[in-house]
Amino acid sequence: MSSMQMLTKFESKSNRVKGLAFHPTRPLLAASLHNGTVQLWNYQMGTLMDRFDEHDGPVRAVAFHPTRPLLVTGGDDYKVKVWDIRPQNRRCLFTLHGHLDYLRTVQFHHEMPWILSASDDQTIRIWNSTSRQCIAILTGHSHYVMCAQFHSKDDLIVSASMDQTVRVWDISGLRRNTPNQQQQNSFDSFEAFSTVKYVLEGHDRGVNWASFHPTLPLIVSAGDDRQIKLWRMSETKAWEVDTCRGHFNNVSSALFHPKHELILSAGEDKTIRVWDMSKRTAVQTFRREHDRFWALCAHPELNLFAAGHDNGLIVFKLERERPAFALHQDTLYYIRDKYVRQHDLVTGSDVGVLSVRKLGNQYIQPRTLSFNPAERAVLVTSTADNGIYELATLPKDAGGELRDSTSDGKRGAGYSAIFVARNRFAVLDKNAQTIEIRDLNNTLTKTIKPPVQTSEIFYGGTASLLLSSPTAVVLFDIQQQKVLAELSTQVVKYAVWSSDGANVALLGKHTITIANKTLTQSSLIHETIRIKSGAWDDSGVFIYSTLNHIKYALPQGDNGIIKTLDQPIYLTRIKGKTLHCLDRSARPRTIVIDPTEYRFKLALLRHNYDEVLHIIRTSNLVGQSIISYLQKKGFPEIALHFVQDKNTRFELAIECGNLDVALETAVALNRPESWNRLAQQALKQGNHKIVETAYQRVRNFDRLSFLYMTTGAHEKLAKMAKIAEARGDQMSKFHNSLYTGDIVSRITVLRDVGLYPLAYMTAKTNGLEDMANDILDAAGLTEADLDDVPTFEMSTLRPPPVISGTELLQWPSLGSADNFFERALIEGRLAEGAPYVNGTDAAAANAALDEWEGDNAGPAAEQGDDEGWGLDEAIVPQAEEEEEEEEQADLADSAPGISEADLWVRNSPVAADHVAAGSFDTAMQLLNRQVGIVNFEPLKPIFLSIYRSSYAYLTANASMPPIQIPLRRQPTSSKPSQVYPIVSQTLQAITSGDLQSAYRAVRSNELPEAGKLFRSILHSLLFVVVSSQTEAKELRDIISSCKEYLLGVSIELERRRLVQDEPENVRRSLELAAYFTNCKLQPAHHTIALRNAMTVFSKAQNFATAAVFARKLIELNPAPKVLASARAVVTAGDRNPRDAVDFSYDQFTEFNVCAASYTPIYKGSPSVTDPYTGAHYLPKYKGQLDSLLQLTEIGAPASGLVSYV
Amino acid sequence: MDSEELYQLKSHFYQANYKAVLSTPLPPANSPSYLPSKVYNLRAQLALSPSTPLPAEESESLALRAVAAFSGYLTAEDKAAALEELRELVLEVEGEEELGWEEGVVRVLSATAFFREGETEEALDTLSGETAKKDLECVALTAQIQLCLNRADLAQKTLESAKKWADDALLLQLVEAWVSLRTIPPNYNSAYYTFLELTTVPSPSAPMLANRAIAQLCQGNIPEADGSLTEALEKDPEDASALMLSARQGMQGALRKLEKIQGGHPWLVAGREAETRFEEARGKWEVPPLATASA
Repeated sequence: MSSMQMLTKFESKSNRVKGLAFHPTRPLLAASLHNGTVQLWNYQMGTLMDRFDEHDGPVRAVAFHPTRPLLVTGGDDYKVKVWDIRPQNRRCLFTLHGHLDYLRTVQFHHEMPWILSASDDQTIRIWNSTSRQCIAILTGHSHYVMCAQFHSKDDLIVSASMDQTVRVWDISGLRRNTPNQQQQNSFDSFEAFSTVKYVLEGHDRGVNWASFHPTLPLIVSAGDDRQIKLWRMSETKAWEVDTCRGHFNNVSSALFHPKHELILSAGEDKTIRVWDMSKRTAVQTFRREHDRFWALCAHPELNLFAAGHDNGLIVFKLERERPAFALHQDTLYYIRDKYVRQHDLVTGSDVGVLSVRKLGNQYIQPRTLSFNPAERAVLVTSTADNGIYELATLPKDAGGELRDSTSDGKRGAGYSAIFVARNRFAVLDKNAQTIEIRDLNNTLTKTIKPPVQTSEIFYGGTASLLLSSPTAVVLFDIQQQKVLAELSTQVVKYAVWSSDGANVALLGKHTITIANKTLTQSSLIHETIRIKSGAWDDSGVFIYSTLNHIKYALPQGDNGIIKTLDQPIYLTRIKGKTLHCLDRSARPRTIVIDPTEYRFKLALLRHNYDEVLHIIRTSNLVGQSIISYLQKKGFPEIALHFVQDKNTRFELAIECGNLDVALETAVALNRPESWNRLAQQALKQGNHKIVETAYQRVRNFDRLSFLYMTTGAHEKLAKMAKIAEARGDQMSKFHNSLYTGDIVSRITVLRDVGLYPLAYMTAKTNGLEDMANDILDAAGLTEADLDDVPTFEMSTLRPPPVISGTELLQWPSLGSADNFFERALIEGRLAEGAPYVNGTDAAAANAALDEWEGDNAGPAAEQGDDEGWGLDEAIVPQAEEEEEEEEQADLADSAPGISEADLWVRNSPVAADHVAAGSFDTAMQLLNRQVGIVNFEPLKPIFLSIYRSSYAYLTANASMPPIQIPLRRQPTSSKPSQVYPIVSQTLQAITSGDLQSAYRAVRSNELPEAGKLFRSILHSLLFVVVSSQTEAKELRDIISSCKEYLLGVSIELERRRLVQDEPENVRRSLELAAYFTNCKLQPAHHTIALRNAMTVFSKAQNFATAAVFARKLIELNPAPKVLASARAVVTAGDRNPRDAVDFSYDQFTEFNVCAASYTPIYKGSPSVTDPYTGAHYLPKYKGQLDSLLQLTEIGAPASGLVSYV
Repeated sequence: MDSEELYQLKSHFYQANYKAVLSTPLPPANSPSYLPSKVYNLRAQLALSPSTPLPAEESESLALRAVAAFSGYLTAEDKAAALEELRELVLEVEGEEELGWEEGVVRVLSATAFFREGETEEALDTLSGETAKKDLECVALTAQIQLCLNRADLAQKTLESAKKWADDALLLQLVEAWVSLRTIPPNYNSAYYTFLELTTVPSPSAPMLANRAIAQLCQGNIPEADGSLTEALEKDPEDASALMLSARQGMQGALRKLEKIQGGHPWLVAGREAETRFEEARGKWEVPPLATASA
């Protein structure tokens, strides 16, 4: 009859376990071992958190402090030790000396600073843990005291002894006298505080254990007489109530179940037994093969027990905790304490509607609940008697006397029972492996043999079931008795459907499979911690709970943590930010969560960029994890938006070419290397104003002068000259005079530095005779001394005059990639009124110069300490320190580093680079996002070939596998953030190779071959990596051109098929010939299309239109023979200006040809495009696979191919 | 100091020229070079044909016992049990003092086996003893394992500290070449010159020629790499590393040959895994119906 289960939650192997204690709030269990070790386990994670080894000899006694992070232990070394268990300060705080023999049990008082200890020295002692003094010694037992415990509320102690008695002690006196009491020395005075209240005699041998009932005046004791005795006490007396017999060897321990009317005991007969407290009958026995049990303890709050035996310990539950529940719209039906309750999630009203007290047996909670809203009926199952179910209707109105589910009398045997339709339910008989379909009268209508070994059935959509087998889940149609789909999974324990029924989450112990309703698509999530429950968010995100977390899973499998949990919960429904759940005692609770992170990721995945922006702007989503997620998914531009750290922000901004952000962060960082990097990047993009600012900041006078020269900023050059003067820098003075064309100043500089010959020659060649003579004088020479010097022609070396003052203009600069987010985010910035839109203005630049001019006489070191050169000196010692630290780093540290492939993926937004790294998933995501590809099958050879060519293998040590050498794009990559894989597909190779063959095939009229070649070229072009924007532009042109060729070839091939298959359809043939000429081919090939059209139209006697093509042909200036025939056609058209066959072709309006239907889409008509090639399609093809390449989804959103880093 | 013959033998061995090692006759049994030469001879056999067990031989020498145990490991069905034997040998050398080069052999072979079975930490641990740090072969193996862990930084450190006492040893130069191909920034030139020097001798080994080709590939000198590769294949048309490079360029013949000679080559394994991964990744995308005129 009874089938109470022992559900093992955790098990460990060790030396004999003598004592156990649960932490009241955290998932910790302390175990004291016979070998002297005290272990601290996290039973949820299954990890050993800590161990304490200071006792000498066996440790039998162990207990946690109820509120503080303390542990007390007592050993055979007569010592009581108190430990701080916080990992950072774990140590023995103090040791209490005084006992004269082994310690048996210890305990902290629940509110006083007292420690209770029981010892073989026949005494029980109470210690003050603050003063660390013994404050009471309870004497009276005449043999070992095996156990002593405080009462959980009253001032009582119960103890058990080998003297065959159980004693109850009154310690209320102790509490009264505790505060600031004087140090007492004599035993007599100790005893004054505590008295024996009752001596319970009845055991025939020594008593090993005695414990109080948590709330009732009851005591349970266990002894070597193999008996468990139940005692009751009143204010004045205590007496034996009854004895439980059944153990056939010494009973080590016995205690009350904290929640139910049960007693648990463990003994040396290798059993744990459960007894009914009121009937004193055995309920269940759990046996172990070899291990005698020595210790038993119950968690104070949870349905959790631990038992210690010869070879370790087990943590177990006696019943399933997971409450049975079913959700219907806003109402949750669930079972608590054997009542079906109806809980309104909106109002919170909660009423009992049905009793299920008689279902199964009293110790077992119902397992599942299925609700039928049409009939307001419930199906409840229980594991009792190998599985039973009951069908009952709920009353229309709550209130009044509750009916019991048995009163309907509709019941039967079966492991699972669920409603499958309004008037049908299915019952699984696990042993017979049959599924019965029954109506609401519980009448059998059909019996089905499931196609697989079925352990559980779930709702599978109308008239369908999900069958869970050990290796798969099968979607089974009940009516047709047919397998609709099968998905291999680990054992599935629960199935959760989304509210629209489009998706299902299949929960196993450690896996979640998220699938669509036909089980055709799925993703798998693996968790190391046990998965407990889950529910769907309205937006299609699956929220689930594990033992210690609430997490989310996106449809494609990305997951993350939302919240940490102390105790498991069972999710029932998610509505917005509110998460409804049942706690482990089946009480409804709500938890508010922050859904921002997963909504953000979901929006990214669904390309819902407006939503992404909305979230960016309205929430404060930050954190390293979001940033790395964005980088991994290829959205560096968004990542930039989240980065707070200035350094990273600067690096990202430089990488994206976002000068505004780069300038802003450079100002904040104000480091020379940042300014130099900014200057370089700004120079690349042609933003000379930012270059100017940067040069000014780092005082790069030489470059600044040169910049002013190239921008024609004469005024500023003049200032630079003055600054050079002030700085006394002759070389700079010389440069500036050269740039400004100021000859006098140039000569002066040369003269000042003593280069008289040069000064003289300069003056001479510029016709400045006076100056030349002055120089001669200064050098102490006369013209006569210069007879042997040749004369030179006049030369001024003047810079060209300024025609257009570009100094004040903003040059057209290279835009970075045109990207939805950058635009949007920059717009956002503008709206905030960001100051750095086009570099700092000229006035500010001038001011900076003026400032230098003014203060430059003083030494540089006097400047603000992070401006100027002082900074460089500070850096040197710092670098040395770092080196020293590295030296000390442990060489044996062998944690794996970041693989080259990871770097590639991280560094590059180019799909080809992700392919090379073998990260096909992200490569596909990039291709989908950039050019809308959904069908990757045709790209498989390219994927594999690129991946295979990105590594080489270097022979190294004997018998070792070779070293993998990643092949990089540039032979010099000085930083991990700059490495990219080797380029397998180059534009040059394709244009000079395959493309030429394709053109040849067109010329020689091998159209099927040409089509194949263009298709393969277009495939390859997806993976081309170019090195400049010019090349990127060229690539786009080639893609577009190949598309035109492929379209043209396809149209013509279709026309040829038509001529063959439907020769009577002349009209269509004419149209196709005309459309072919619309494709933008090179002139040489365009003539082919025109000649073709000309011939086809002439043959059909459509002379007028034939002449139109002929004229276009003549314009292209073809070969003489062709020219002659074209002229003939024109003449024929003039002579006979009409068309014999009517057809649809408007030669005067621009149009594109739909690549699927080969019909014209005239300018202004709606159309959708292929996101990759830009081929046009009629709107009705939106969402379908493109017909030219069979790669992309027509009309899908796309950001454009990135082929350039 | 090693004799001239032993030095030559080691050079061949380090350059993976195992055939040359095998064709070198052993010195007379009473020569001090006999035992080390014998050990290199046997290790070369194992490197060339790992699946052929060595003839059983009783020996006192720890090095020879290690070679035998390693051979046992290579051919064993139950790898775990075979590792145990090596572990015991390591324990044995740890108990002894002053074993000299034999300790290095025990450690290198054990660590090789540990690494091959995925026991990376144990492998590194085996190579981290005080004596092991002064043994070049241990250093070389440590560096290779660190490179496999993507820890070029650690490999660099291992190299630098060994350079302090064995700057110009051939093996260390090889290690430097390996490391310099993996660091960021890399030093492709130095690796290239090391391999160039080793291959411009009268009879270069095919693996070194293939390594030269790799260094050239890294430098971006594709035609030169092709030249080295052709030379390597001429030298030994069955050299796995050369075949891999040739197959990488799309040579189907080389691919088939490599599959036959060394089906477990990491490149082939990675390629096979990539195919599976591609199929998995592809399966996540739903392909809509084709747009056609009839639709």
